[in-house]
Amino acid sequence: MNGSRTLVLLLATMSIGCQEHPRDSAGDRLRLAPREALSAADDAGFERATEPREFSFPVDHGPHPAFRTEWWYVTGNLETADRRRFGYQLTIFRNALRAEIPARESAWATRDVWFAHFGLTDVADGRMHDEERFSRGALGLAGARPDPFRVWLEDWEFTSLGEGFFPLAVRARADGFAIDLELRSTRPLVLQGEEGLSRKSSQPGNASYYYSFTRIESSGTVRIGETGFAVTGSSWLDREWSTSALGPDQRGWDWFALQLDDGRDVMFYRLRSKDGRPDPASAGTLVAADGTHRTLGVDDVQLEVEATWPSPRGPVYPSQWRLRVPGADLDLRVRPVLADQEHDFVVRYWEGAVDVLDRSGRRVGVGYVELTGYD
Amino acid sequence: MNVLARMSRRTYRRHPGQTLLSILGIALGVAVVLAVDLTTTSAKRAFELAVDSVRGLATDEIVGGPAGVDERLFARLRRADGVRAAAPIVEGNVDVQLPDGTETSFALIGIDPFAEAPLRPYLAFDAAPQDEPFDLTGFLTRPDAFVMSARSATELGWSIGHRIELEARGRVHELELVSVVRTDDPVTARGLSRVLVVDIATAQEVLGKLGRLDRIDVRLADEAARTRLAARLPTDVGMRSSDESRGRLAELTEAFRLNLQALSLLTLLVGAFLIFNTVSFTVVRRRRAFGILRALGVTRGGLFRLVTAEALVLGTIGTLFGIGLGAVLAHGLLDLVTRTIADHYFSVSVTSVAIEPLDVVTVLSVAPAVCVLAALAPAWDATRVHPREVLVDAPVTSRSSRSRISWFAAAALGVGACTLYFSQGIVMAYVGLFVGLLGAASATPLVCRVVAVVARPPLSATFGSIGAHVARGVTASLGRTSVAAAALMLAVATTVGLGSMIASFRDTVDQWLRTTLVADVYVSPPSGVSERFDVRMDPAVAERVEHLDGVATSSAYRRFETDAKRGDELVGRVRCVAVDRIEHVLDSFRPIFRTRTEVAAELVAGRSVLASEPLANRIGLSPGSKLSLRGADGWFEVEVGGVIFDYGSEVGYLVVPPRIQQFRFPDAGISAFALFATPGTDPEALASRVERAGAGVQELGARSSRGLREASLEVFDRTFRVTAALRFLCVLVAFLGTLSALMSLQLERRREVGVLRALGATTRQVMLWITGQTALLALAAAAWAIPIGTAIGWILVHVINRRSFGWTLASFEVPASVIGEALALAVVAALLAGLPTALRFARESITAALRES
Repeated sequence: MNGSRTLVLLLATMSIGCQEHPRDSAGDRLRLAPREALSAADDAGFERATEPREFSFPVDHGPHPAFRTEWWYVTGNLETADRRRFGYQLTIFRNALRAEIPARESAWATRDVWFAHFGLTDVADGRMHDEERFSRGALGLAGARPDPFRVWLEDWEFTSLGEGFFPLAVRARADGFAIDLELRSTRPLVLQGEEGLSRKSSQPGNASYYYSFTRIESSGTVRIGETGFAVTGSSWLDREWSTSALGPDQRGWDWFALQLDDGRDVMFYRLRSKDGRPDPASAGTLVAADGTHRTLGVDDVQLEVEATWPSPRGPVYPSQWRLRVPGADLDLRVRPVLADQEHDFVVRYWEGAVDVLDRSGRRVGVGYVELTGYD
Repeated sequence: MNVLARMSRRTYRRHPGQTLLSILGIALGVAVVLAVDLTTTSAKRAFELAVDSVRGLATDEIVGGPAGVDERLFARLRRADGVRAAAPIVEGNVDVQLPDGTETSFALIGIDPFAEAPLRPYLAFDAAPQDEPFDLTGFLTRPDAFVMSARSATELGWSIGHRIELEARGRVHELELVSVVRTDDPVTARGLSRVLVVDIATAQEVLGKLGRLDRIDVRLADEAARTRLAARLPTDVGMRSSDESRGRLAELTEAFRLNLQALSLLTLLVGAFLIFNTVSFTVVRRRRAFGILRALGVTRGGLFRLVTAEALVLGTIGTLFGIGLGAVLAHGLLDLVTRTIADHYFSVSVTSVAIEPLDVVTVLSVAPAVCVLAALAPAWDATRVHPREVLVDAPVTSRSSRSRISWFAAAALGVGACTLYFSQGIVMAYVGLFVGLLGAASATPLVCRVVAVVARPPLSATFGSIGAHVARGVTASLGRTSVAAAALMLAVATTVGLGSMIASFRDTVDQWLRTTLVADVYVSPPSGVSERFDVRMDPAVAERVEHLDGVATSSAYRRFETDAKRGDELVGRVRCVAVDRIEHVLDSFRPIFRTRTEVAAELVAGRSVLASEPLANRIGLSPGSKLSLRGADGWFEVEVGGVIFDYGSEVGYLVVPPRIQQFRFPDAGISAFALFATPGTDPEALASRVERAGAGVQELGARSSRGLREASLEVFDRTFRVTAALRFLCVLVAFLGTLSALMSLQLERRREVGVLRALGATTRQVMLWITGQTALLALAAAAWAIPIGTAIGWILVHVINRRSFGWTLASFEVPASVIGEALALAVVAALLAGLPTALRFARESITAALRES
């Protein structure tokens, strides 16, 4: 999941200062609409994702400094032995402020800004904990390397524990909450879109290279305050790099990453235009239990908003959907496990754990949803 | 209006000159005190604001040895130890060329914008308002980007895109303003008025601090967090509270402030004498009236209240004028004060003097109270007036009151001397000095009496009976003139004291410079204001300088700062100087307690360090003391081998033998060279060749030892300009006092003049009689002022200087010119006061004069 929406986040953050920003009246936070973020970006000197490429691992797990931006995005649903439910999200972003890498004497000099978002939804307690961090890509404060794989921002990290990519440790400590998980994938990697080239608008070059691990067995510890919980569950990893993705008319997206009990995984993103219509570039992937997958076009999926949730911080988000894939015999209801899973970060968005129900209201899966551009 | 008040008003109306002079006197005194307070406080506050704004919300700072903190420690704290509220700082001072051609010092602060949110939220990268977005890309990726507070950018007329040239460590860099930062807090905004903020990478490059941080600011929740963090730090860094480091910086100027304040109080003291004088005069004039009032049933208390109320009114009017005058004067003094502070301590931007309501309230309550105090004695006198005096003309000063005064004078002198001798600290030294001065001032009439007696035979021999009459007149009028004489004495003594202090000081510094500047040419990168101490030379440039034609031999000076402990107590940072090939420059170190040979042997052997006198006084070192220093590998102990003279600063330094430096402070770079020229090489020519040696890499400042001495003395002279200005104001007040007192004396004498004229005295004789009296009185005061002034000078030099700055002055002298000035001042004051009255009386009709009385 989490394709172009995170791109916009990145662009939003990086272009602070390049142009005028809409400002949230309630606080000091900067707000950028996606379009403005995009138009602010100076892509000169960066490579762009224009055509499918030959992926090569483990190198492609590591950084791609020739592109403006990239991220490692992990979300998952966890529970304790006595079924206490948690959702988590840890994302590490790299964003280059300019194409040239400066040749300077100081070890602090850099053109890369790294940032990370960490969210932990505690369903029993009815609240989400979250924190964002920034750092420069210098002095070992933040960075990525392919082999042995590691991506980190200070003490938040994804680190391969053995020779291969998995088992992968996911660790983050924030003020009052933490996770320490070990991830093992049970499915092969899925190249999203057109052999890994994921188009985000009709304009060539507005695309990213994108692959996912859609179902990863996860176990470890969640800590809230001083209390630790042993948990197991299932995670989803998205990996994406690009220079620019969204078109000028796009406003945001609704993003779904669903893991069904029958073994199928569904990824679908609906790009929203400024005029409110779904963008034809909206797309998705359906992964079968055996790991094979097929692409979903905008016409393959029917998505209806069934309810909305007004955030106390302003935006009104959709909060329940009916998602149908007639060609795959899917008719699902998607419902957040907690209404308020909004991140009040530098860029405000909603990202949270969801339940997947069938028409009879029985839970048939879990997932994560991301909603941006509602500000 | 009641009768008494009406009488008061009439009395003061009848003598407008007297009234005006005393009001002016008190106004000047108040003005000087207020101006000094306002300017020094403004400078101090500007400095503290700058420190506070930059410090932000930090509770503690992590500091390292001489070279600062290894930058990798910051990464470790964030990555391994999860310390979130921590921000690295690289800072230094740079000189910026302003459009009008002047050069101003700015603080250059290197920050990591991603680390600032918990410490200095206004510097966090996402804090910018929407209409002035923060150009993060420019700030982070351009090696020439800086930001500054919006307010100071506006003040300087710089807009986004403005380019400046700045000089740091002798190199010129060009930077461009890419964004401005706003803070809602006006105090912080003011504090940032001379601060350039750059990315930490830029700061390291501009200031030559690659790999190092000056400190890491941290915000800790409590003592437990402090202990936890301290335990995790490597041994070569330490932690100290931010308050502590701020306090130490502020302490630097405390002595300077105190001394200026004391000098200004002296002016107020002279002003108080003036009030004393005026009130006494009016009491004396109204003895008869008071007698009548007493006879009519006015109580003693009523008279007492009347006189003190008059003083209160005079004092309040004078104070009100003084406050206005002080505000004006402060603007005049501001430049002098900030220049001096910039020369010696730190650069501050004080563009205007803020009149603090609290200061005004204090002055408004204190100054009139001082006036009432000054009027207590004459008020008491007024209550002593017996109704009988209406009929009898009793002498004003009785023999018993004269002996009371002698006792008081002796006691005050004794108490003053004891206070000076036994006390510690600057404040007590000034208390002792002031008490002693009061004693000396009250002894003035006695001295005048003696002078008059001694002068009588030669005067009558020269001028005949008029001469004898002059001498008698002085004695007879002392009851009314003693206060004026005392004020004049005080002013003249102050002049002599300050004059001899400055002269002795200058002479000592000159001698010291002559003997310590043993090499032919001295070279170092030109010093910014506060960075001068540990500025470093580019190694390639240093190499080039050493091998220049005409250099016979050289000694390299490595200057650095490190933490010091005495026992377990941290005494803060001390400056250290290590000298290579120290044998060439041993003569630079003039030991105080031990012989040169002993000290030289210790230095060459590398067994002990030398402490310069200000440092030794500041932290209590003497030969044989042990001191712990933080070296590159942690703490180590050294012994103090000797204490050396040093007038370079009141901070002082340690001379570290080369062997200790190489072993303990291997990172210390070369800061300066002492060069010895080959025979036949002109030092001035060598100096200019040396300056060219840095071309393109690092600007160098080279001076022959003569040039360096001259430049040092220039700074010295500039420093004492404030003192000279205060000295002038003090004399001005005394002059007004003398004028007022002598004028009142002349008014008293009107009747006698009439009698003299009736007896056939010529105009010339009358003038001689009047001016002679004032001149004799003034000379008597001056004669007493010279020894008292010498004593003041001695106390300033040996007690106050030492306590304030830690300097022992080698010589003490009272230059003839200072004495000449003092005498001239006294005589001119006397003549100016005497002549106009004398002329008026001489022309007045005899009958009018006689009828008047």
